Amino acid sequence: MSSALPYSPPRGTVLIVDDEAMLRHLLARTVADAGFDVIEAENGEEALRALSGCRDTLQLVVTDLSMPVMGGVEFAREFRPLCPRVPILFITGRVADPRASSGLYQDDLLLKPFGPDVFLSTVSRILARGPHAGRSSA
Amino acid sequence: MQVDPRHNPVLLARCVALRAQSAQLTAASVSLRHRSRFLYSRVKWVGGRLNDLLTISVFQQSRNSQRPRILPC
Repeated sequence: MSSALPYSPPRGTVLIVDDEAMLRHLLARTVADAGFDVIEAENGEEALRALSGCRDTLQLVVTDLSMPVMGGVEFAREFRPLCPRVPILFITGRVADPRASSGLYQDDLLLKPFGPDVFLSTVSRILARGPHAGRSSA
Repeated sequence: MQVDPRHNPVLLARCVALRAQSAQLTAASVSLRHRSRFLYSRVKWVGGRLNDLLTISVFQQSRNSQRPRILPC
C-alpha cells in the first residue's frame, strides 16, 4: 500500500530572508511547491549563519531590504564575496529604491505588494539568466 | 548715518527682544525638523508594513482559491 508519489529531485536551495514571519513562510511554501529546498532566516545576520549548510546548493537568495539587526543591503555586502555567483532578489515595501546609493543595481528588486505568480515568474527569470558573476564582470 | 543701538535704550531693548525671538524660532525650527524626520520615518515604516500585509493577503487568497472546497452535506 505504498503511495507512488512522483519524485522529482530538488532543484537547489533558495534562501528566504524576511523579518515578517508570515510572509516569509508563504514565500518559502511557494518556492518549496515549485520544487526547491528552502532555508528561512529572519534577518541578514541569521541568513549569513545559515549559509554554512547550503553554500554548495544555493541557487538564489530572496531578501527583504528593511529588517532589524541586519538589513538586506548590509547582508548583500557580506554575502556577495562569499557566494559571488548566487543571484539576489531584493523585496521591499518601501517606495524609494535603496539600490541607488548602495551599488546593487545588478540585483533584482520586487516591490511589495506582489502575488505568487509575479514572485515565481521573477524567480524563474532570474534563475534562467544563470549565475550572477557573469554579469558583474565586464 | 549709522546708529549704534547701544546708545539708544529703545533700540537696544528691541535688538535684545529680536535676538531672543530669533533663538526661539531657531530652536522651534530644529525641533520641527526632528519631528518631521521622525514622522517621515514612521510613515515609511507604516507604508512598508502595509505592503507586507497586502502581499500576505494576496498569497493567502491565492492559496485559498487553490484549496479544494468542502461542500456542506
